[in-house]
Parts: sequence; structure tokens; C-alpha cells
Amino acid sequence: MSKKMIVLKSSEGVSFVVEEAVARQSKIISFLVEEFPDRELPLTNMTSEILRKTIEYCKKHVVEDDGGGDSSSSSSGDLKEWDVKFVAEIDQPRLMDLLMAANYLDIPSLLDVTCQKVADTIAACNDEKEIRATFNIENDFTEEEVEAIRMENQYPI
Amino acid sequence: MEGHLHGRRNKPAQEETTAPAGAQNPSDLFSDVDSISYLPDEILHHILSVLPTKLAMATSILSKQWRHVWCGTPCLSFSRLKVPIESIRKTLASYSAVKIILSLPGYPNLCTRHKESPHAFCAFRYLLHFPDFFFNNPSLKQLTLDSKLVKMIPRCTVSWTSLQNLSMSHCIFSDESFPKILSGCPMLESLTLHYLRLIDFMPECNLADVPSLKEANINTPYFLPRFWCIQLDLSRDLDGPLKDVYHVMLEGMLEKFQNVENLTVGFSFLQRSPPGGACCCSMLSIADFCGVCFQTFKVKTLTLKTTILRSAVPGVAKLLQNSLGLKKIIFYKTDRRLEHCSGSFTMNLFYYSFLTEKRVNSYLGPQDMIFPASSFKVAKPDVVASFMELFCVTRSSFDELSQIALTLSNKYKVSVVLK
Repeated sequence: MSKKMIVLKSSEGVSFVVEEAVARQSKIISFLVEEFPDRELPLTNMTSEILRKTIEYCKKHVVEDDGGGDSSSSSSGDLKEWDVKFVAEIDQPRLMDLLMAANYLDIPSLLDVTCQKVADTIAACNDEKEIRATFNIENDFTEEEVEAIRMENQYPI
Repeated sequence: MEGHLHGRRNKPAQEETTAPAGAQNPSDLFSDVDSISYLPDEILHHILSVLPTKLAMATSILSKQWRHVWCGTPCLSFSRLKVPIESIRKTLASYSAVKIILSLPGYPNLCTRHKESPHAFCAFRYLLHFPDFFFNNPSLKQLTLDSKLVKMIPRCTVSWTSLQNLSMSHCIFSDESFPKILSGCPMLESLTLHYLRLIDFMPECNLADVPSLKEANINTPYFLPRFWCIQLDLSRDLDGPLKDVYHVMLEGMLEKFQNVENLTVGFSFLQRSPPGGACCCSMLSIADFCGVCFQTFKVKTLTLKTTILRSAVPGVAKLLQNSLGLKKIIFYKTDRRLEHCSGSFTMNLFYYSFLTEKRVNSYLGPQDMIFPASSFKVAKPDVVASFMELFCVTRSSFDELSQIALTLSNKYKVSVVLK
């Protein structure tokens, strides 16, 4: 049985041919496929690299009805392990891109995984200075303001 | 850190120049640009909601933009943290959560950071007594409280108009708490009560009507006079409350569960429980004995998390008899410890169980015993399961069944799952 394929186009104009079932994990694509069948779907705010990563994730997580795929046979434990490895291999700026892609395409599980990774990164920091350094956040508070917030929070970290 | 800087610099040039605005990460353009603050608040909330609240709060110190981001996090979670009560109170004050999870260690010595004079919100130095605004939160959907330090005694009208899921464990209650809280939750669908401690007990104390309740998970002595809360030595107090007091109280209580489809009962509901969780009296069994009128339940799935002592059997049986729509019973074989008696904990449990039996005997009389009374023994789970199966099919009177309960071999319609 041949599977229906759809074409996704990245911001650089690179086309990706994907099985419909894989792409339909994105609620947005699901919607677009129904509205515009047999058309290339341009994803102008996604680079090829991020789109490739997103498709890789969706391929791994697709639940196949006909049982023909090998990826669908993975147990949930294996999948979790795979997810952890998947986000661990991505550097931080790309992780943010992927997070935004998951948000834009509306893929809740991918959004969860990427958000968890960012949260873990924050949790791994020893103090607020380290968090700022990790994410390049500019501290626009004065010393007094920082002290006031610290007093308010009562949570010295 | 090193890794991502490195990765960024190695990025192909044309990708950077063709990157459009919008979801594109601007940090691809400049290596020292903030890589997180540009994210929309909803995503930041998503990230913060999986962090412990302490850390989520700490982000308010990062920059002006981050100052109030954490306040919108839909989930507030204090779990096993050594946070001072005062801080929790302050957090709640600057917060309007959809979901609150409060789980604290029960030991006051972990919270000794703030020894100053008792705050307005703290009735006792270490007790967390929620302020009025806490009880007035229309956006709250889920509330989970698990702490011996929490005093759930609202002094104002409760307004949790969106609350669907309420779980309270080990909290301190007064006689007015139940009706006050439950009457403020018109949307409540799931209620979990575990080992609540009631103070200032009044026999008229009753659950308020909650017609929306679909799921109830009850493992608490509903009726626990103050002296039982304090007194640990059970052997000195074997005088139960008067039978008519039980009657009024139980009848009222049973009415409240009439729309519940998914009922989980722990052993202290079926049996009375002193602090520490061992069993004392079979509440439902006694209700049956006292002639309380059981109305029909709409229970479809009944989960029993209890060691079935003989004292609990009449209560379970009555529950089954009145649950005409029952589809499934899930039965947890909780206490192997009682079967294999060893260790001091087991001995304690054994001791309490023994007292239970004694106490129930005083209410029920020997003719109500279904499993052999000669030797004290926990009923075997599979025997009880078979018994329940039989009961669901025949729905005949309890007395008729008592003779055949031990020799069961029939097949039945309701599915019984042993766990």
C-alpha cells in the first residue's frame, strides 16, 4: 500500500517529502493538508536544519496504523530515552529554534521535550549569574533593585 | 555553553542572511544576543511550570523582563522543599495559579528559619493557615495539598468556581471546613481525601452537596473526634461514639456520593483509622449494622485499596449491593505484610488490626462474621474477590451469603481486577 506523501518547504526553499502520517503530528500541517491538498506547504519561518530535525522527531513518534513501520514498534521507555538523546545532541540556539518550531507547528510532545530541556538547563545553574551567562540575559537591574527582589522572594539561590 | 557558541560561529553564512523574522531565532544572527528572553510568555510559562516553584521564582531576578514572568506560570509546586512557611504565604499573595501543588514535609524543624512572631496568616508558628484571598481564586482548576502543616479552615466564603480536581492529604480540618470548601466548588469532579485530621468535631458535620462530583477517592476517617487525633494509645480508648451519632453522620455522608461513578476507598473509610493509618472500625460495616439507609449509588468502577479484614466485609458488601451499575472492581492487595508478620511496623499494624477486630465485634456481634472468627487472620484477597463477584451477581442479602462465602466457585459478570 502506497502512502500519501506531502511536501514541506523550508525558508531556504529546500523541499522535504514526508509521509502524511508523519507530518500530521503537527496540528497546523494537519489543518493545512486538509485545506490545500496536493500542494507544497511553505514553512517560511523554519530553516532546513530545524525542519529536518522536526521531521526526524515526527518520524520517530509516528504511530502507524498499518503496522508497516519499524519505528512505531518502539516502546514508550525507548521513546523517552530517544527523546532525551535527541535534545541532548542539539546545541542551545538550535534547541530554541526547535522549541519555536514545535510551538508554531503545534506539536505538543516536541514542545514538552524541548521545554523540559531548557528547564533542566536552568535548574543545572548554580545561581542567577550562571543562568544569565548561559542564556545571555542582560541584567538591567541596579544592585539595589536586585537586593529588593531578593528580599521580597525570600529565596536566595 | 562553549558548545553552542562554537556551533553558532560555524553556521553557514547564507543561512544567517536569509533567516526571516518571526519564529526564527535571532541568536543565530549575533552570538551574544539573549537566547531565551524573546520567547513568548506562554512558552516561558511552559518552561517554568516544570521547574520547582522556588527556581521559577528565582528567575524574577534575572532582568526587568523576567521580573513578573513567573507569576503567570500555571502551576505552583512546593514539593518536599525546605521552604519557610512565610515564603509560601508571600508566593501565594503574588500569584493567581490555575494549578497549585503544595506538598511539604510534616516536620516543623525543617521550617525553623522564621522564628519571629506569629504572622497573621499563621495560627500557630509552624502551621500554614491560608489567607482569605487563597480561598477566592476563580481560575484555580487543580489543588493538591499534602502537608501536616496545612490548616484548611477558611474564615471566609470559598469561591473556587473553576476547581475540578481537589486533593487534600494530612491537612487539618475543622467541622466547618467541609461544607464551606465544597459549597465553593460547584464544578468539582474529582475529590481525594487522605488521612485528614479533624479538630473541633461536631456530629452534625457533613459534606455539602456536590452534584458534579464524578470521582471520589476517600481514604480518611470521616469522623474522628479530637481525642482520637491526639491519643495514640488505642488500648485505653475503646469507647466508640454512640450509635445514633453514627447514624446521622453516615447517612449524610453517603448521600454525597450518589453521583460518583469512580469511587476509590481506602481502608480507613471502610474501617476507622487512628493516626498512623492502622484500622480501627469498619465505618460502613457499622453503618449497615446501625440500620442506616443506603441509597443506590451510580458507581461504575470501584477501587478498593484496603486489606480486607473481616470487619470491612459487611461494608464492602453493602456498597456493592447498592451499586447497580457497577462494571468493574479493582482490588489492591495492599498488605502482604499482615500475612508475613515480621518487623516492628508489621507488629504495630497487626496490633491495630487486632483492636479493629475487637472493636467491630462489639458493634456487629458474631452472627455478622463472614470469615472464620476463631483465628485472627486477614482474608485472602482472592477469596474476597470471589466473594465480591458472587455478591454482584446475586445481590441477595448478606446473611444468605455468609454461609457460602468460603466455598466460592462461580463465574460472574462484573470484572474484578486484582492488583
